[in-house]
Amino acid sequence: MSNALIDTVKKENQALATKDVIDESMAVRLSCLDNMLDLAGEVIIVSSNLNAISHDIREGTTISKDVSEDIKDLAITSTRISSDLHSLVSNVRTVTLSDLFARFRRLARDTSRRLGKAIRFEVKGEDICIDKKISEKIYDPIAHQIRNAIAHGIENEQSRVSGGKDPVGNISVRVRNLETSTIIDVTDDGGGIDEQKIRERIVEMGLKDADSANRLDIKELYEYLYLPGFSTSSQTSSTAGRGVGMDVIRTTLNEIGGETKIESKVSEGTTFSFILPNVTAVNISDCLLVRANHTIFTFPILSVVASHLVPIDKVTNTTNKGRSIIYLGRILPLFDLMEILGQEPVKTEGDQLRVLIIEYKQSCVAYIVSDYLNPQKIVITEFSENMKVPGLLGTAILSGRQMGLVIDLPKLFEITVGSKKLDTTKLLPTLEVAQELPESGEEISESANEIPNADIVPEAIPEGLEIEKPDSAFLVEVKTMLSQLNRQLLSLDEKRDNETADAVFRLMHSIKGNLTMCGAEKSSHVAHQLETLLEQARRNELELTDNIFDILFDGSAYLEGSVEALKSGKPQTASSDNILEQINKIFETGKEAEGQAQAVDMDIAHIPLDPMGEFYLSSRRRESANLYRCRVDFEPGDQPGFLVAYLILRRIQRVGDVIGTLPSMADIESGLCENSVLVLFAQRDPHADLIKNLGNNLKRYYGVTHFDASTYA
Amino acid sequence: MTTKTAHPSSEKAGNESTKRLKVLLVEDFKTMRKAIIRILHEINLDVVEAGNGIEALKVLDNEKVDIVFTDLVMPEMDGFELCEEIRRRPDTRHLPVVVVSTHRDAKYVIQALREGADDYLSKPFGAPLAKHVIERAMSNV
Repeated sequence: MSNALIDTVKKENQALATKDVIDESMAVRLSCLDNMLDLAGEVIIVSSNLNAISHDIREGTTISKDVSEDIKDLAITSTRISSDLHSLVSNVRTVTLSDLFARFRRLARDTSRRLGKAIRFEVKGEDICIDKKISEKIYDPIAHQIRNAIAHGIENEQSRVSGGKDPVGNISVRVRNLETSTIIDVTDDGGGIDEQKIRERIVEMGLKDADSANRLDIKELYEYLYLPGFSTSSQTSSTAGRGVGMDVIRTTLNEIGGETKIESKVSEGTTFSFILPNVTAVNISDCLLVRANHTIFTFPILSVVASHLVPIDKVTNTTNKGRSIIYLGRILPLFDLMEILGQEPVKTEGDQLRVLIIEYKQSCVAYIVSDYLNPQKIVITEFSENMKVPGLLGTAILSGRQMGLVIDLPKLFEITVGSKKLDTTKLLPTLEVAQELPESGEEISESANEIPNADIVPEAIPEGLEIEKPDSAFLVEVKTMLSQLNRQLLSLDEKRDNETADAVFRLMHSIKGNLTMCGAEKSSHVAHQLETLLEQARRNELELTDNIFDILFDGSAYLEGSVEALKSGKPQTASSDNILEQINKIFETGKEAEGQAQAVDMDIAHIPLDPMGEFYLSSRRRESANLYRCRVDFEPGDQPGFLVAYLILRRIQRVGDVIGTLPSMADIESGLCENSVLVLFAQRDPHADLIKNLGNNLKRYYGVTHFDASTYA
Repeated sequence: MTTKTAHPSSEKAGNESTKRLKVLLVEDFKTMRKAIIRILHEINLDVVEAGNGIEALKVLDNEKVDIVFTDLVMPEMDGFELCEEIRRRPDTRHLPVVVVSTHRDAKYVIQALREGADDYLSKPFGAPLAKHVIERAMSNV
């Protein structure tokens, strides 16, 4: 293949490799899907009308006077449908700005506190939607501008008062939606930009002489603000260590095709506008279509090295390593595309194999297919999360009313390389679903009934939930939860009531759970501690002070950092020590205050079994008692020792009255018991085999390794 | 007893001689629910799902299940309340309940057991432990 092609393939590969798989999913508003479904319905009507017309023409039974009129009508309808569909799909890609704005509120709050400046922060237009990709990029630039406005826009209290202003500064972020763009304005009522200072700085930096600097108009002057390293003296302290400067704002905005605008009046304030394009991009991709048995698959065209006919007798069979072919002097492993996807092998005819050679990450693989079709631009409809099939990204509607399955190249290669381990039956149910969409009519597998639940993600994780690497589903979910947390914390900060505290508590609990599932022990511990704080708050045992909020916000920022780290596979840079230490401080002060109250609580707590040290027998029992003293050693396995001990005691309680235990019941209930317990109990039922049966039962179900019971005098 | 279930697909006919147990899984988060269902399927159980205590009670009104797996912290009706309610109702009084939670503190574990849970699994857990706990809970029936 040509060098140019190799280069483009490499570029594509790099793009695929760096593509953040987790970020590629997003929540879709149901109303959008409903509208799409409506349109899909219209498409079906149009095509069936076309079918009817073509049938009539063929049979010569046309009733209508002018067939071309009918066809024209249909063409107009289908044009409208496709443009509607296009704008709908673009709409699906959008998200509301509410998450982003919650982060801004938090940032404004933190920055104003850190700088000791009182500000009023206002946002407007949170429910306006923008493209998801853009929303991910604009946080940093806008955040930078908000920090700037607080640090340098808003004057200190003294000068505000002496200037006749409200001592509290105002900053607002407002969104406006225009025809082709969305504008986000960051406005402050501070001192405004001092033109003279910019001119002085231009001269100072030797960019222009004093004369020409004085001739620059406002627009030109502001352009200098974006120069790397250019800052007027009042700005120098601002962004240090923040990573984003004015020049970076410019770069980011250029990347997404947007622009910025500054309007400022001395002593009245500044408005910094971010003008964002309304993107109408759809997930369109150039693909080569191939057919394998009755299914059409699409491969990204840049990954296709060649389509190639191979005589069957030129295929090398090796027992261990499978089949291979030689292409342009290179040995390429040969796989059956359908087999890789867990289907019946491709039916081959004649003495030649049709082979598609695909390159991904510098390695080439050949796949057997049934036929090559035309390249096409396709619009990919990705499978929803619970319909994901390894190796397939989604579906695409192709010309001629057919449905194609879009190959997920990185995944396909992953499966291909590890294809021997693949449990093919598990792939069937979801593929079945994908197959039902078009009128292909061909069933794929006769064994599909064996799989009881088609909605289960068909990934085999043999060790159950004990996953080492983060499960992306949990990671995606925890990300959403964390942005929810941010919003809820802000509303808790405002309301400071039990109800909101309760909601935040539940959310934190779920976050902890998800982090545990991701194997993030440290972060889940932090979440646990935060959860405990919140639990005390919702029970009114802890007053929600500003200090507590600082901890909660810091904690949530730490968790966000951890999730980002998990996602990228890099270690978390921030340390949890400080947060944990602060939480502990709060717990300790709380304990001191409550120490006495708790001691009283313990006294009245209902403890169903007397501690061994203090037991005594009632006279009734003494007469009838068949007293046993038994020792139970057990291996708790994956469960905590105290839990198994408690269950064992409960099991014994079913046949006798437990009178005393060692460790004491109170100790066991507070978690102090590892693998052994002494029990004194009175047999209730004078049954001879009782003790033997009990012993067997304990050994069978409770991991008991040693059980002896002797009568107790 | 070797009553053959008419499952042409079942390869492990030896294990299938007994009726498949049906688990009611009560958990508010879908992802977590899915992960647990995956494990329950692995040990050959049928699963019905509910998103909170109230939904769970509705299921119990209409369907016969063999065992309940429930989360503790849920909206509407939490796991503690659900345990209590299951124990209160005459028709479900003896239904085994296993609490499945990320809480590991003795405080929660013991509270759950006192409210009537038969066993306690802390997430994450694997199929072998789930199987063991289910067998233990069923042995008490």
